[in-house]
Parts: sequence; structure tokens; C-alpha cells
Amino acid sequence: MKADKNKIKIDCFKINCFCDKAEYGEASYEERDAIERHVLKCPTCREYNNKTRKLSRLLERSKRNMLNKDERSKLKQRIKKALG
Amino acid sequence: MAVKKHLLFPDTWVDRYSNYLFNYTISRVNDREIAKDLISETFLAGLKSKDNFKGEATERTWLISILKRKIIDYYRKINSQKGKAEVKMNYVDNEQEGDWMEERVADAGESTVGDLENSELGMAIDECLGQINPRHAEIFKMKTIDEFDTEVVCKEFDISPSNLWVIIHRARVALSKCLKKNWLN
Repeated sequence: MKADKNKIKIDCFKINCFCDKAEYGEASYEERDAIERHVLKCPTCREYNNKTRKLSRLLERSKRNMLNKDERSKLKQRIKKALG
Repeated sequence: MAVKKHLLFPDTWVDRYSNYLFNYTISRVNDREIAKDLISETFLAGLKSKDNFKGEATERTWLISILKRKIIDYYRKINSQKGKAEVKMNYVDNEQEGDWMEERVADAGESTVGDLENSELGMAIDECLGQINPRHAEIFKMKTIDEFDTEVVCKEFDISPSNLWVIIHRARVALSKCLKKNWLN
């Protein structure tokens, strides 16, 4: 019984990682299928899937107000240059 | 009891504070290029007057104080009524940089609710990323904010793709928890 519980935990963790991967559009067909089948029977993972989607929307909203790597590196160069 | 003195680490300013300062600025000047210029000027002014830093405020509070002054100067320069309304602070012209810098910064602003919310959200995300495992935060930023390919991130951090997704998962869980505590509520 204990082994089953552990297996479920490991499965849930794996599914949660797939959910995140899907948010970046990088989950394979098999991984997306595994998410769909798993969340039907697992409310905890269903909740996680909704949560991670919500987080993606928040991140997307905030990205407009963030500097990307290029902009940060230009900023560093500008400072370096000004310092001589 | 002795009060903890804060120190300055200029080498890390761009990585640690540029997004926070950018969020603060963009909702006030509403122009990406101007915001970047103001942040750049802020860092330069900080470097120039770092000897005046007394260590009473945190590094970030000190930089925000300088930035606030830069925003005021910018609005003075363009003589904008909007700017006068937005930045409700009044410093005396001949004040020495370094004396006013360590004041606690109160948020003032009259930008639209959406802009302000996005800006606050951005600052909350930045703060939360500062509280999670630094390696996880770096990997998360590179993948999520800078949108690098998985292969590039894995190469940069010498990790496998499955390792990357575990780290991304842990970072997202930690970030969600932190945002729930500090922003969503």
C-alpha cells in the first residue's frame, strides 16, 4: 500500500512537471495525453494545472515591464563605457 | 543593539535591480527607451556617489531614491504638467546627492490602474524571484523571461532537459506561493 502511495506521489510530481513544460509549449503529445488522463482522476494535479496556467498569465502580463537579457547586457555595457 | 549596516555591490546592480527599477519607471514615464536611460543614469549616479552611502537603507531603497530624483529631473526637463502631477516629491535643487538618497521611498503615481497593477506585479515577481533558490531563479529567468531555448539553458547551466523541467517546476511552485502571500492577497 505504501509503495502505491509513493508511486502516486512520483506520478503526480512527474505530471506537474509536464504541466509546466506544456506552459512553454514544449510538452510532447504523450506528455500532454498523460496530463489529460491524470487530471481527470486527480483533483490535486487538476488544481496544480490551473494554478500553473494562472501563473503563466501573470508572467505574460508582467513581461511587458521587464528588461530582456539583451537590454540588460546593453545597460551593463553603457555603464562600463561611462566608467571608461 | 547595533543596527545592521547595508553594503553596496555595484557589480550586481544590473542583474539584481534593473527589472525592479524598470517596473518602477515604466509606469511613470510610459516609454521603454526613456525608462532604460533613466535606469542607466541612476546606476551611474549611484556609482558616482557611492561614498555618500551610509548603509542605513538597503541597496535597492537607495537606488530607488536616486531613480526618483532622475524621474523628477526628467519631468522638469520636458516641463510636463503630467509629470508634475505624477511625481509628488519636492526636493530642494541644491541638495547634495547622498543626503536625500536614503529616504524611505513612498510610491506616488497617477498612472492608469492597469499600468500600475502590471508594474506592481512585475516588482512582486522580481522580489519573489529574489527569495527563491538563486540557481533556480536564474534558470527560471533565462527560460521564462528571456525565452531561451531549452537546449541553450541546459548548456549554460550544464544540466539535462529533465533536470531543467524539475528546476522550472520547483521555481514555479515557489514563485506561486510567494506571489500568493505577497501580491495576490
